[in-house]
Amino acid sequence: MADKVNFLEKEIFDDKANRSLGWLKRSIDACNGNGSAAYYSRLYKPFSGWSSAYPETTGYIIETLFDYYHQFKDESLKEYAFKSADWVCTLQMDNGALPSGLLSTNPSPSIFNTGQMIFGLVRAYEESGDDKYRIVFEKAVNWLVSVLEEDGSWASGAYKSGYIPSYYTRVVWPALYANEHMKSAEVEAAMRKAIGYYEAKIQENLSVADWSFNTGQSAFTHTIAYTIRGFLESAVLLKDDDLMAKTVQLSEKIMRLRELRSKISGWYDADWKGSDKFTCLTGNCQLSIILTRLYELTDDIRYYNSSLKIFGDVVYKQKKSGAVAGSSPVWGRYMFMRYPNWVAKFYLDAYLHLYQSYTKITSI
Amino acid sequence: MKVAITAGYNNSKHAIALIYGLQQQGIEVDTCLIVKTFSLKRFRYYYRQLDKKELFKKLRDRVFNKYVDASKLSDEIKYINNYFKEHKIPYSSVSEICNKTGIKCKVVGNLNDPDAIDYIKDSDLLVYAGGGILKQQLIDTPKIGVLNCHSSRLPEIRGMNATEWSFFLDVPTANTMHFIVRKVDQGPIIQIIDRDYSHCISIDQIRGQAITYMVEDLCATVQKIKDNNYTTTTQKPADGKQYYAMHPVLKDVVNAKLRRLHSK
Repeated sequence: MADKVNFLEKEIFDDKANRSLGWLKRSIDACNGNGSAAYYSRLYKPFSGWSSAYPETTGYIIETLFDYYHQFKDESLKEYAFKSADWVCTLQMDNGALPSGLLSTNPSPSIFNTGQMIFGLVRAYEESGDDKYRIVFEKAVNWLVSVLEEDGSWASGAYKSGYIPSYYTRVVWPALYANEHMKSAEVEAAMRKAIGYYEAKIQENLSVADWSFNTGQSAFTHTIAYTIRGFLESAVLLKDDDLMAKTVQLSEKIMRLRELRSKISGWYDADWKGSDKFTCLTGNCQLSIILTRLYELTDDIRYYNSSLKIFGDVVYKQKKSGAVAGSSPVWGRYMFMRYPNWVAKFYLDAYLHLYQSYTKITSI
Repeated sequence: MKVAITAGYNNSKHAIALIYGLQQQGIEVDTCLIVKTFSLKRFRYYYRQLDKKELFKKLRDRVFNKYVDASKLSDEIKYINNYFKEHKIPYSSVSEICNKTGIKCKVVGNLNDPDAIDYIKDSDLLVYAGGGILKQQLIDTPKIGVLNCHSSRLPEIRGMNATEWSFFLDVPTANTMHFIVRKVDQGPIIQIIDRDYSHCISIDQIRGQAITYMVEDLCATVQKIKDNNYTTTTQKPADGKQYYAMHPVLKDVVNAKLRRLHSK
């Protein structure tokens, strides 16, 4: 049911955002500053509750910490962001790749995780101007280009061996983002080819083939949103109007789903048949970000309206500690009984995007 | 011309006022389809769409208003209540006005049910005064078509909460009279009638005022159709955008804007 309380009022926003920021800081403290713990769960980790550090998500949490440092002028957030970026730098392999999975002694190169960590490294470079970050992200991007197949796919360094997920669009995007600084024609050409590979997977019914974690499985809204956001930001950076038009269609499909059912399902199959048994909370936050971004890009208030609804469905699911579960209910299929750090991250990102736009709308 | 009317529920003041208004103009209403007030589907729809406060308000204003002190009703319902007083409309339900004035009426679960379609098969014009989404078979049944009043300017603003969106987007407020086609608010336009809401200081007041404007404009347009004094303009899908129900946060923005405009 829709909630009538205006969660964009400053006091509510400040309170809720600071709770989740506090929780994210604790997730970093739990790893002694060496990354952010992937999740909190008394079921999986009965003693401390915190898991090991997760390089992938630590990488993109850096951006959130910087964004809120600027929002709240809280120096500690900047310190946590740089500390995390320094730690990510230590993880780079000789070939330039960044590692898969949770922190381990035997890491393997990961396409997706490399992309996600590039986000934080580029941002740390932009915030500091320090070349130590630039050296790492350039090497990482060059590795991504070097392992790109002829057809534009990434076949190696996969989460599931032999499966090339479409949410790799969210690898193309950080590579292009890094290339804003690298200015490499080779990188741009390679990423054009890569995004074309995934663009070809957009189906007539506006589903995207292989956008789930596994072949033939329904896709959590988490990976659906990864895919769409990758298309969106790549279209912006490549100034690709055709891709942008397709991204708008995908996003409008999401809007219609929310309107028709008054909720977003936790996952959808290839025919857009959803499961009402759970909501993937991070997916909602990420979809909200996509729609707010479309509003920012087009000034079309319909996107903002739907973004409010999709985020409004999750804003009060936040725990007092600031943690946000993978699913609602917490025993839902996505991250069963866990409070992942990336849900807090996307919750904060979605909230900030909405809040900043709201401030502009109400100041007119 | 045989005119049929839909009513979203039996206590629909909007539908009663419309039937009464047409009769006062000398237009004979032949048939009326009343959608059953309570159904699980309808309740589930409102439960999902509205928060508890709004759901309660809707039930209080529209279904149980007879049992509630008039001062406790929302602004939204006050306009139509005043309209009833001004026009001395003596009926309290759609079935009552139908029974007392010789209109055939039928209560249906859904306007698209085969028995509902069969009931209006001899009608020339169906005037839509609520009752849910219409399917093609029903749309195709009346000889002239199904007349709707959309409470904003078409094709610019299609869809839900159209008056609120007009205010949000600074589009001049109007009612668009058009024939219904399967695609939402994309049917041929008969006329656009400018409407002034400058005296309203809240969305509730706008919605209340919109109901009475709608009754007047539907009556005037049915007259035009009866007199065969109208032409239509077709719309293209790309001419406008479809808007969904406005989120409460944006409704607050509109309410603040209205208060600001009013204080100037």
